[in-house]
Amino acid sequence: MHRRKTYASLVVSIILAALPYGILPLMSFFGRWHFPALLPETWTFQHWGSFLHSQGAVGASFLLSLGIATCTATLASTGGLLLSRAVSYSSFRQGGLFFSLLPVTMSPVLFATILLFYFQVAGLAGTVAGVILAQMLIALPFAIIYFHSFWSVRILRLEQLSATLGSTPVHTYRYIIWPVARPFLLVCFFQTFIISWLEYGLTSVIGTGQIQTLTLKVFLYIQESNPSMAALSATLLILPPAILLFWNRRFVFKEVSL
Amino acid sequence: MELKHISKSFGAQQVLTDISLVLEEGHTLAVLGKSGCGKTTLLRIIAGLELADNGEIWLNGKNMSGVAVHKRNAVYLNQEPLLFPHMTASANIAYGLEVRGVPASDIRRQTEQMLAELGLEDQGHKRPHQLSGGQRQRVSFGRAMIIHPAVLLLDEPFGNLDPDTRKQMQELFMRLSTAHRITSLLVTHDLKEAILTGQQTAFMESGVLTMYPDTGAFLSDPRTGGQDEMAFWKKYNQS
Amino acid sequence: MKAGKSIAWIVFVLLVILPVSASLVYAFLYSVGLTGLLSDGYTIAYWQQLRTNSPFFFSLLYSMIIAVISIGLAVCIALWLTLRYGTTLQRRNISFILLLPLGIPAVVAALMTYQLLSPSGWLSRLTYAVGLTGGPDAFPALINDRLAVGIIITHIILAVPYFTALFRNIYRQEQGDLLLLTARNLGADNGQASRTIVIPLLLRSAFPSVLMFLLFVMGSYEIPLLLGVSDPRMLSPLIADKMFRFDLLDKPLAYAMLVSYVLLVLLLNMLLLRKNARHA
Repeated sequence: MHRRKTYASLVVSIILAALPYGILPLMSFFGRWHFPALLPETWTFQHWGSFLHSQGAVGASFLLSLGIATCTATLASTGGLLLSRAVSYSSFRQGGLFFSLLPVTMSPVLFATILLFYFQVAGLAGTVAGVILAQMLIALPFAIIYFHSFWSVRILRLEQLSATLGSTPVHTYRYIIWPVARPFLLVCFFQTFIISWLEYGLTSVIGTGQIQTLTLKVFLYIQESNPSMAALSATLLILPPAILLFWNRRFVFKEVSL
Repeated sequence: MELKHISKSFGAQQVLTDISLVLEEGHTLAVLGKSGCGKTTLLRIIAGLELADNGEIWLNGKNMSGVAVHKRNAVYLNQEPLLFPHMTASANIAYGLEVRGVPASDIRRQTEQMLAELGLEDQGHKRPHQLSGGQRQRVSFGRAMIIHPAVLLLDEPFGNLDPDTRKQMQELFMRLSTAHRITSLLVTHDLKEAILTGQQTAFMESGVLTMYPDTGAFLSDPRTGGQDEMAFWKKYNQS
Repeated sequence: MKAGKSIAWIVFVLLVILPVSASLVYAFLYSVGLTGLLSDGYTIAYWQQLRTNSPFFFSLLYSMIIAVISIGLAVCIALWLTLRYGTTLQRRNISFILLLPLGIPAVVAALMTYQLLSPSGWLSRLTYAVGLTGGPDAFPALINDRLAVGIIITHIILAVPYFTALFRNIYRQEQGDLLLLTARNLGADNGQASRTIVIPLLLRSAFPSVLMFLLFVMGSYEIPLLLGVSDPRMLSPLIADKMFRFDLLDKPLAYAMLVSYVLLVLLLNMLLLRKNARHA
């Protein structure tokens, strides 16, 4: 009796955690579903049909989100690795971290609001390039903070030791630093990918509603009271991070340390 | 190796004051000094990891002013073995030879020879995390000595080892440095270690270096603590 | 190498320091009437309006209360899970499932909460089916309510996995098992040992993360947009609404709110850095 009671709260937590991954795909097949029916009166494959159709709006949003997230993650993680080195090894380290922290801790929609004027002046508002740049302005500082813990005294000593053993800086980076940094870079790529993939507020402001990523599509269908399409878009949205989480569950928690 | 009037300050703090010394090839100079006396800074300056405010460094008859770190052939080691974590013990040892473009067959032969000298013949395939602390330190030494550096700079290299391992490592160091005629500068805060490992001895305090002609003169200087040490054991023996 | 370092710093200034600084300057200038479509020259009228006749401070308080309740409860639940099920949580499949919500965006979490707790949602249909309620109108307002129940529940569900993983990590790194044993060795029972040793240790180490999450919840946008009410509003929907409404006269006040919000975040960031440096 005590053993069953002991695990009840854990079981509840597991159910709650997994619930969206069950309910949302299910709801994407709902047809008519009026109150007070617990299950829908009709089921339909129509919504998935329109997604799989090459001209479907959701499909286009999926690909757009994928492209934006991949670009942002690639630029942010590689840029972050290099910039973080300069910041971490300088006497202005704390100042560098302070400036990097603001875009990360600010509300993304308000961050976008404060940037919008310059994006409009530069003609980047409402463009894919503008959205990528805006997302970079959050993802890059995130990556800089993330890699701050990588560029430790120990890594510096490895670099210096390699130099005293006769290795040029290029050789040191290629054969010593890069192999050690690779797993960190991978985790950072996944984390910045997820930041971009799940982003809504900043994308809707800088994109002026024209850049219809998957998160915007979810919002749109919610506003249109179209729960089935919203559920389908949401399912597409949450599956890639779940897959990434599964692949990376070894590294699954690495605290961002400052 | 010759140092001529090396001085260094960090801001208002004078760390090294007019350091000059001559170290013969194949010899080990052991420098005794407490923490904060400037010995780490001195080693880092010789390695090129810090810049001196004044003075010159000569290695094998060449002035090292303006010479980049990777071209000096002055290897700096400290307490932490700092093995490259993604490489095996063999690969770590071979690293310096690979960087110098030594042919693969020669690298293999020399690495195997060094592993044997280190007593690690069957450990070459292991990664650093699979080795004990003492084994990692041995690999670190092997990696430094295999390239016959112009000078080997050791910054309290045995500091974090237990007494038995420490003794073994001291003996290994002396054996290898004699066999390969390595010129070394070893800094330590351990009196016994300074006497055991150094053919020449010196004492450093507040950035000032004092060289001694022999061990007797070194022990006679009350600052080294040699006199106190001997008095203690004499008293202990009598009681 | 030196050239590389200089280039890195130039890029850092261009992409990290400059955008925020320049934007903050523009926002401030707009809020004091020195720029903008309807600017009439320097004025502090909007800042006075912010202080005396705007919903900003109430919204700030409202957002803070929601953040403190959400994160406070999330931390408690995470502590409970960590201390109660420590070893079980280390099993990879279980920890993977518990961490799934980390990959759920705010808008989807809000959608889930809406589908579950709205008057026509699943819980309402269930209570109707068992005869507890007589229809959607009889179902209690758990979303779009002033008490922000739906908002709080959603933030808790998103925060618990993060804090559970964090506490588990800290517990492992600080050898929580050994500390518990030591405390018990010194005479403390399990409860005392948890209360006086482990919980304070976990909370102290996790404080920077708690502070960061409080900032995230305070600045939350999608969740209060979908699950909140029009009055009072949380900070982000309030400021965004004022900024993008058709009425241009609201913009200077919106910018004043924005500048105030950024200054608050900067202040809390300084605290965050200081606390983190102490724990390092």
